[in-house]
Amino acid sequence: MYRRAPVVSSLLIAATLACCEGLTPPSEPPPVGTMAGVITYSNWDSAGALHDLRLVGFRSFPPTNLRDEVLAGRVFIYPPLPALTDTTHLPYYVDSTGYTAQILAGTWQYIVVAQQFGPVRLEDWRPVGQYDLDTNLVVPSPITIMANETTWNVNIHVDFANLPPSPLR
Amino acid sequence: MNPTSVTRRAYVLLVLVLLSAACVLAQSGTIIGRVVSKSDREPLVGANVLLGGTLRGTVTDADGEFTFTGVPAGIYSITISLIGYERVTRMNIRVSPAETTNVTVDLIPSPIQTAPVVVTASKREQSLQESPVSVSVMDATSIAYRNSVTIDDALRYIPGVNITQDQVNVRGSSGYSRGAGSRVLILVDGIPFITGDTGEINFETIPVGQVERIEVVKGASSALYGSSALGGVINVITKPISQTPETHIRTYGGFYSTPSYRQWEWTSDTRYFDGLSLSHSRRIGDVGLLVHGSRKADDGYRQNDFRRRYNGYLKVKYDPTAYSALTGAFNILHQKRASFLYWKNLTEALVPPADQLGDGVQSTRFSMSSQYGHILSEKLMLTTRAIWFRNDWRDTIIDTLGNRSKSDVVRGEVQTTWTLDEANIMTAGIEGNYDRVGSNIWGSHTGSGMALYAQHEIKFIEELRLTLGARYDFQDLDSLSSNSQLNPKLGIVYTPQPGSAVRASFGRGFRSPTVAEAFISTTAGGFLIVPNPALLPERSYSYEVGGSQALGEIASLDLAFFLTDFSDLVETGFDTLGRGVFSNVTRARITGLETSLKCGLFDRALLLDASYMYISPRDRTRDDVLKYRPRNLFYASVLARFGMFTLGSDFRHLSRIERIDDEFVAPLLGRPPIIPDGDQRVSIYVTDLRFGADFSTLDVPLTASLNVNNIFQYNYVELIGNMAPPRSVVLVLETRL
Repeated sequence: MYRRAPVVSSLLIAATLACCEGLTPPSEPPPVGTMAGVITYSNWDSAGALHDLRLVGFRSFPPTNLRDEVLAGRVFIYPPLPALTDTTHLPYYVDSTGYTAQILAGTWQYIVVAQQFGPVRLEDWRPVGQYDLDTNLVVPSPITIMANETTWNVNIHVDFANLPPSPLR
Repeated sequence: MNPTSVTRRAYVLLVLVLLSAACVLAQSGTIIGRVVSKSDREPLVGANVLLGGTLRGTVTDADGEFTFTGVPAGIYSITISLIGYERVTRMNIRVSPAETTNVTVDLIPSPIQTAPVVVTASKREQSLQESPVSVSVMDATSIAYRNSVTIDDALRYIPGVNITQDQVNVRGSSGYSRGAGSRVLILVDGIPFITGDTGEINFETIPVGQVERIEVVKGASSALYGSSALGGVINVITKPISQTPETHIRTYGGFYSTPSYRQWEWTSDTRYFDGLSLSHSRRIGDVGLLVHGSRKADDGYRQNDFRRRYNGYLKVKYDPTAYSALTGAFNILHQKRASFLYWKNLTEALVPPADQLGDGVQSTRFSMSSQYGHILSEKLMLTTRAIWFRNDWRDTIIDTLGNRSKSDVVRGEVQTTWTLDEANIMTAGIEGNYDRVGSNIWGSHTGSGMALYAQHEIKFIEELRLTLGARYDFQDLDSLSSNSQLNPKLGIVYTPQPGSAVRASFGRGFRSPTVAEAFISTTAGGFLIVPNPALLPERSYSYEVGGSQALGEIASLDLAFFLTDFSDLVETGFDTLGRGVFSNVTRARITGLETSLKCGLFDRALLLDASYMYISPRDRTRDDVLKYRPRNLFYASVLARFGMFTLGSDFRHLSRIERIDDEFVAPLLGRPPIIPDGDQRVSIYVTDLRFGADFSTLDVPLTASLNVNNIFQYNYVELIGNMAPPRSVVLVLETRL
């Protein structure tokens, strides 16, 4: 009997430690909402400086830098990028464009139209217009997206001759 | 360089080894012996028997008997070792011409074996206690007892070692980097066994049924072994050829349990796995022969995860004299398997993404190797080793229209071991290698290298030994800048009394970039991956202090503190244009401690093993934790014998990996992550249970065991997006005729 005691106690310890089942399938998919609005433009930049133009959302303000935020998956990008080489972008040389985009629910601190002005894909970006209810061009307005609901009127004005300050490093 | 010339080079190497064998015939006699247990006079099967001063060795048969024929007249010693018994050396055994000398040796049962013989730490046989570095040993019994299908299965239970998918990690050296070579060198019978293209270890190519034991040397070991010995060395030693004809048949069959959750049930069929291996060995005159064949099949517990494996192995040993031995081995593996890269998501964890269904890999790998040992005099021994290893595979990965690669590696080594006197042993050697790779992913490339090494072991006093050595390597890989390395080592061992040892060591390691890392050009997951011909070798410096102590006659304890500094570690990342690339980015430091306890109670009726390792793996470039390194490893096993029955259990715990490749698991650029839910991981607690019966006590040459792996059905990942196997039940039957 005593010989078996270590075996039995070892198994009991192992069973206790392994009693939880480890990974389990998620019960719910991550909540998603919809954001919609209009982007208006003035004083368009030259074609040579328009390498890309996207609507980008950041969870925090100021963001650390674009590269880290993108690689850590903390950004929202519209139109979405199926690959880094994708060339789909917000339309150029229009007065305005409307958009409707799926976005993870929660608070987004910084919604911005971002322009890639140079050839380096993850470095040469700058904000050219931001969602800002006060229009003071200094501190952007956060927005909270509710799951399964549409948040309207997330409108942004882009003036290439009067750019907002860039928090991107 | 075409394949024909590679083949010719391999043959030339083998012929050179053959030609160096000198046949010296002398008047000879025979030694016939019997090994029995001193406690009950029962014959002992499977004891290793070495004839001192020669290269002759054998194992005892079912009657506990052994035979040495053709022994030159003279006076010899015989050393017998067997797990569970004290090692014994019988001196002054006289052999006369044309006469038979009979010997009976009694072995005294010993609850623990504190100092088994190892060959890897110093490239020669030595007691484990004489080794200045940490070495762990796993014997064939432990491998068979766990029904390990591949070598990496067996390695999961060795202290300080963990496996991430199929990459081996010694004291946190490796982490995981798909296609980025191995930071641990694997040897088969002392010969490097890594592929020429990716520099990886193909565990499935090593015939696990023919393994005598596995030795794991921990810490940088490039001073003896060169490239890849950055974090340690694993030496797989194959079984000797039996003196008497022996046929061994082993078969197993089992199934995987139904997944824990309904969401994970992707099929209503039971998923089976099975295997059959046959081997026969015998001696015909001076020639020993071992033939082995096996087939293994696994339906896989995941969708698109089946595998079929066929393995053939031939080993021939020729003993022209008692002082020389030539061994040749041929090994071939053909494998066809599906390719499960990662799950669709955690909701469908046993199913791959739809675009990966149908992906698979087909491979044929073979190796020819030879080893020749010659005792030139009482003090000087010559050993030559050579291998030709071909790795030929192609996949059907749909989005890249099929990758394929064929690589050849030819290696040769000449080693001398010179016992100057009782206090001084010199080991020195020269090595050469030639690699050739042809592939549609990394192109066609050739590489070559040369190395010289020397090691001096000095015994100042009986209790104090110093080991000093260095190796110079020159490697040239196609358009990469050629590089040379000088890697020193220093070790000291103090053994104040039998059963006690204190050790300290320093070693340097390096790993040359592989063809795959430097020249890869492909796409994966929508990313372009580009070559980096400016890659530099990785480097490491290892420091260790440790000791071992026998605790009475029932237990032994080993404790080691270690520190390893790495520089220029090759990691996957993105360049400024957003393209994937291998580059030298990381400086790292791993500090930690490792301890292990072995215990044998009630005349070895109850065996307990436990080991624990803690590491602090720091990425000094990013001031963060290194990826894929669990901080805590705890392994424990218990085995109880009740007459002809055994009951045992293994338990493994690995703490949750703190850092992984965020790039693969985070939403990227506004699209879903490459591996959805890839960040889902937990600490690992796995328990296996084994029940065995040995019917030989009833004069039936059969053993049977029933194993239940992961008995508590704990769900975990070792690698992101790869669910580990659920509970499986397997029955193993084995007979020796």
